[in-house]
Amino acid sequence: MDLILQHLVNALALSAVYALVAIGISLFFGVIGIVNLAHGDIATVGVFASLAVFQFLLSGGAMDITTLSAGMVIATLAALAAGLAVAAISGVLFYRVAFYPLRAAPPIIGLLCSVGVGFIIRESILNFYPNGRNPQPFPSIIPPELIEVGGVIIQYKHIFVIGTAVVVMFALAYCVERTRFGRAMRSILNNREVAQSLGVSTFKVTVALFAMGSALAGLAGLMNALYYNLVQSDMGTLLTVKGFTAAVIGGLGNIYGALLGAVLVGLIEAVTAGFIPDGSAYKDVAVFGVLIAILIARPNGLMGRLSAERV
Amino acid sequence: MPRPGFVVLSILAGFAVLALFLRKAEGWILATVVAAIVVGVAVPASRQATRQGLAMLQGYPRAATAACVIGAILLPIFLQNDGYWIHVLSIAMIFAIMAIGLNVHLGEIGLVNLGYAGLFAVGAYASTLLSQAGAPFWLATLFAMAVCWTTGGLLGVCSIRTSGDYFALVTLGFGLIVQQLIINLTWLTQGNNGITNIPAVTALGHSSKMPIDLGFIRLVPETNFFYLCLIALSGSLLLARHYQKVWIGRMWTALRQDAIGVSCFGLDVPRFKILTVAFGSMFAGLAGSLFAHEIGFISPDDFTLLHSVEVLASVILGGIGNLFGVTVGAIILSVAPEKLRFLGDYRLLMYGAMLVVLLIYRPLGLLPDPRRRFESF
Repeated sequence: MDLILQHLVNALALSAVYALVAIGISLFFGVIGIVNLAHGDIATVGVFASLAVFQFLLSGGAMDITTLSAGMVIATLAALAAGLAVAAISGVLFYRVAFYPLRAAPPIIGLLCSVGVGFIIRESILNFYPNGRNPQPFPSIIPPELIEVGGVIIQYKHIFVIGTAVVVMFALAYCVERTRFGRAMRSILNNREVAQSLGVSTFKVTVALFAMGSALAGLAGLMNALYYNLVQSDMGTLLTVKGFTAAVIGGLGNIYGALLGAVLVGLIEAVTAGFIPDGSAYKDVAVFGVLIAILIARPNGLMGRLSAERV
Repeated sequence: MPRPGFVVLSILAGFAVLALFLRKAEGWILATVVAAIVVGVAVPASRQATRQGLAMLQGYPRAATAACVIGAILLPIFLQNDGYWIHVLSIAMIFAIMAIGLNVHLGEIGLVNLGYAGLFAVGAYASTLLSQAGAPFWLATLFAMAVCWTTGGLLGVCSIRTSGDYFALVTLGFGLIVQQLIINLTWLTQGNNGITNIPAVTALGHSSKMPIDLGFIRLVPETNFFYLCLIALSGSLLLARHYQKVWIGRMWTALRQDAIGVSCFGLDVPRFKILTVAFGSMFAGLAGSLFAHEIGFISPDDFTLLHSVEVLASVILGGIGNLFGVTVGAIILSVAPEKLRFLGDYRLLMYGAMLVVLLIYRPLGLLPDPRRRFESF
């Protein structure tokens, strides 16, 4: 029983990271109809921007800053803010440079273009970031202490990752359901032409969405970095693949579906790694096996709209 | 001079210039040529010029085809027996075979397959395992094609219910699963260490490790596989072209345009889709078998998502649906990294940049299929 709960906690922390990536992929698909396979790489850009700020402010000092002091708090906040801002800006830039010119082309072209952008980001970090070829330690700003609740070991970083994700989800749900921007976005998701004819500026909404989605991806990247305390240039690929899987399991274009999908992906990974002997080598196989099964049973994802087209 | 003769001579000259470019262009000359090509692609007028040039070649299809075949056969001589470039071009032709296969999925029935490298891996391992058990090359290749056909059929079953980006994810997952299984099933595949010592191809007492002795010229051993790949590529092109021309090709177009409509005319759409995906996957078996025997060593690193994307990129850059364009695109994309080697660490960076720039300026590929100008995707 304790073991099950322990795996559940680990799974939820993973799910939180995947969910933030999945939401971006899902919403981008809903609004521009393109699967963005560089979404995880945008997160990497944010993480490395944040790391650069850390390295600059601490200038080679100890990277272990769990002791509280005013300077450290400011450095941490500045670094995290820089990471989110750079991710948002690079996301918008990416939309304007790579996706906007392709808005009339078939969606597969946009998908391939995003793969090219992912290449550029990964290789730029490899080549231009100092010592970018090797995995770099990310400062651990969360105290490493453990809490034991009824035999289940919970680390502060679990609480931080899951807590942040929950807060962000509620903020996001409010933003999508209640604000003007959210209404405009849902109208585009529903019917692009009608939204345009009623005066919704699709360009502005899309740019805002890319800023928001990329900042969320940056946050996911930062949470991943804080969780493992290690970053490398190709960490984005894993985030993209898992985020995409979660988004598809839930149904593309639906943020609650993305959330559900992320929880499922995290659970399947944790269960395979935890309960099947020698299972951690096969956890991706399990995830994709379940994915294929779900898609065959429900072709538009668990929470996707049921399509009339069935051949 | 009669026009067909002009076409033949210009194509042969093109092959000679290509060989010269491959062997000699380095440093500034190469940079200038690449820059000129990039600028040329970005200029809208070049699109018109490409179309006119192609129209002239298409005016004499037999002469053009014959010239291409002769040029390709003479290419090792144009390359002055340079084993390295002959090898690179053999690999390029293997990629072209894969691109032709993927074109059946993507171009003919509009299914985005992000796991083609997985099928390629299945073919390569199937062929290798049978070959190591002592089977001759042709039998191993046929076996690999059969295995890929079956695997493709299973993927096709998934394609009945899922379409569009959902099928893309299913295939992405398929590619990753195949790679994970290769890494983990060490008793069968040797895992990450890969399989070494894949036996050479022998036929009529001639082994692929021996040079071809023509009396007046002694071609390097790499030429064996060059010609083997050339034969396989020609065969694949002929087969795919034939399928495009007969009723199957018409059905592909109809299915791509309107699946419900074509089912009303009596086509068993699910069965047809499964068979089409299986047919397209068969080429991966051929390519995989050639690849394994050509390199003599296979490991999971040869079949990553990156390779799937490379094949997809060559289909799209070449021009979806246009077999000639797809072949050219695959050859360009697999030779370009070799030519970009002088960039050192920046090679993949430039590769990505090239991909993005080409897609933005040529979203329909370098040689778009003229039939598709009237189609919505």
